[in-house]
Amino acid sequence: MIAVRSRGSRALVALGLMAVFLVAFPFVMPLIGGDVSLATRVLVLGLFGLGVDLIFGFTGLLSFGQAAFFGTGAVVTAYLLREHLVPNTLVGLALGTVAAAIAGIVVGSQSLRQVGVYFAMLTIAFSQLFFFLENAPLKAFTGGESGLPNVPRAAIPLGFTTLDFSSALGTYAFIAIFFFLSYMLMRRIIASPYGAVLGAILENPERAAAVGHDVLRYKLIAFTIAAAYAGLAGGLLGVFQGFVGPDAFSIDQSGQIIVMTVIGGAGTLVGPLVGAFIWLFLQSSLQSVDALAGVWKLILGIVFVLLITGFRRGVVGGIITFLRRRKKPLEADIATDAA
Amino acid sequence: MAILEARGVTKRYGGLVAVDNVSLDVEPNTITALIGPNGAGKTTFFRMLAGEIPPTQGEITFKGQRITNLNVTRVSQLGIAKSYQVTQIFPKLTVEQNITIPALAARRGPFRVDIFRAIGKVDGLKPLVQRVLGQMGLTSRAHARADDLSYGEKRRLEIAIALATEPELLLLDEPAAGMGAEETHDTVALIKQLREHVTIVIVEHDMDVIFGLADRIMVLQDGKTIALGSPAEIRGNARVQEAYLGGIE
Repeated sequence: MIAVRSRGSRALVALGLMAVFLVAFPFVMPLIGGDVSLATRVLVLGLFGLGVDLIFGFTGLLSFGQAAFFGTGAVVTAYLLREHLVPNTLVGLALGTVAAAIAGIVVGSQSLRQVGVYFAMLTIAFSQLFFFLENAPLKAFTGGESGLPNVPRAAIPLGFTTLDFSSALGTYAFIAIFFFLSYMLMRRIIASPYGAVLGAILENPERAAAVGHDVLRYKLIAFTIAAAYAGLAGGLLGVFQGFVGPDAFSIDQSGQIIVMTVIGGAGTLVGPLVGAFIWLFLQSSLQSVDALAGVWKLILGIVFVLLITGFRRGVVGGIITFLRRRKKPLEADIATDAA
Repeated sequence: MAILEARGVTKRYGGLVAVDNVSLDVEPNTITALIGPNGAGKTTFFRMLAGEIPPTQGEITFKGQRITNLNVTRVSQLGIAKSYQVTQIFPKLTVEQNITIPALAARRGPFRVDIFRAIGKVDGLKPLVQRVLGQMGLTSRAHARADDLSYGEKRRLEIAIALATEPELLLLDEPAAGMGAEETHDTVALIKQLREHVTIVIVEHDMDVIFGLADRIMVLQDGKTIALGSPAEIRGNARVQEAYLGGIE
């Protein structure tokens, strides 16, 4: 028999493991052929993916337009910081996040009445609109095709001194703190009554409405939270790489974050992080082999097809299923709540 | 005073009149049955009572409030719940979670962004979930996945989900559909116990169920009411026997 742990202590264990991972990650990465910068990028996309997981994995909304919010957060934060319109990095990130959330409310309120493939199509249309706005009419602010270079590194002036995160490890730490807090918040959201209703919408939206839940408003708030997560991740991307280009808005970016979430395991919260790691790690390792110069994308594609057919619930979902099979069925049922 | 009043309710689909000028008063804490041959308009009438579709003509009031212009979510929040003929559960959630979802709607209202609250902290939620589990005989199955239930258990969970919205009026659409004799008998016993707490309107094909439960019966044919009365009156009604019951007596 496995001792039945309370929900609270299980949450502490999960958060503790995440903290240990985040501290170890940049030091483990060089041992397996990566570097701190790759680790940082994994966290940025993992944070972006937390929001995608909320709407896709936990609510059942497949949006192919999340890059619109990622890009909005990136551009707003980068612009404010470059032009020194805000006192420090935190305010820049906060305003970028708010801008992305507002964009989320606008797009969500116009697209969420549609469901399934019609919803997905509308999100693509909106993200293409954002891409166009960024590239042409708002060029003066966004830099258009050439993007916004020279985004300042993270720094927080405290008056008597300035907290400086400009080193590679400093930037990692800065982003890791955001990732950890965002992960903790998302766990709270999933475990809350609000999160439980999202789970009902995922399973059976018609019945959720019939028992008295205002499904559209639940979806709109989830969509807005996901947009805010995307915006924060976008803002951090600019701070991390010192540059924001139009590719942050691209349909490629929207597609990649979905694939990462699915490979890692939708509906698990850590899935997007694992998916981002697999994606970026394979990409950088395959690219560095000269013999594969022309075909690395093909190999990446084949690996993804194998991963998706092999792990139908993603890598993390597959691991959870494997661990549960080893327990008694009844206990597996008890452990169903939040991964 | 009637808890539910339907006045001259009509539903047309193009040239087809599915429900034709039907009126019904339902008294509190009674069980009213709707019967009639297939295509008589029972299900359409039922869907209008639940707010799933609006009537073409006529008025439906619940506790004095007009509900004909409200959607299904608002109608549910007012206190009308429906259990479906085709089971509509949350398959991957546990039985307890399935019942928690409607209980959350009853206890928190139609919408709330309470992201910092634990589910267990919602006022009165646990007692409500436990009570409904007990009422529908599902306490021992609370932690089973809804998917893994037997057919009969799924049908009871279907009713439990409706019941957990704390309705004053419960609409049961063929609760015994597809059940064996023994399961049907148990279900009838469970529904009888509910009468103390809630008013019930039931659509059912099984005549044993109907005559075992109903205080009043309304018979529909081709969208029209052809009889309305106590079970004894309906049994003795020549027009009903001719139109529908046929060989039963």
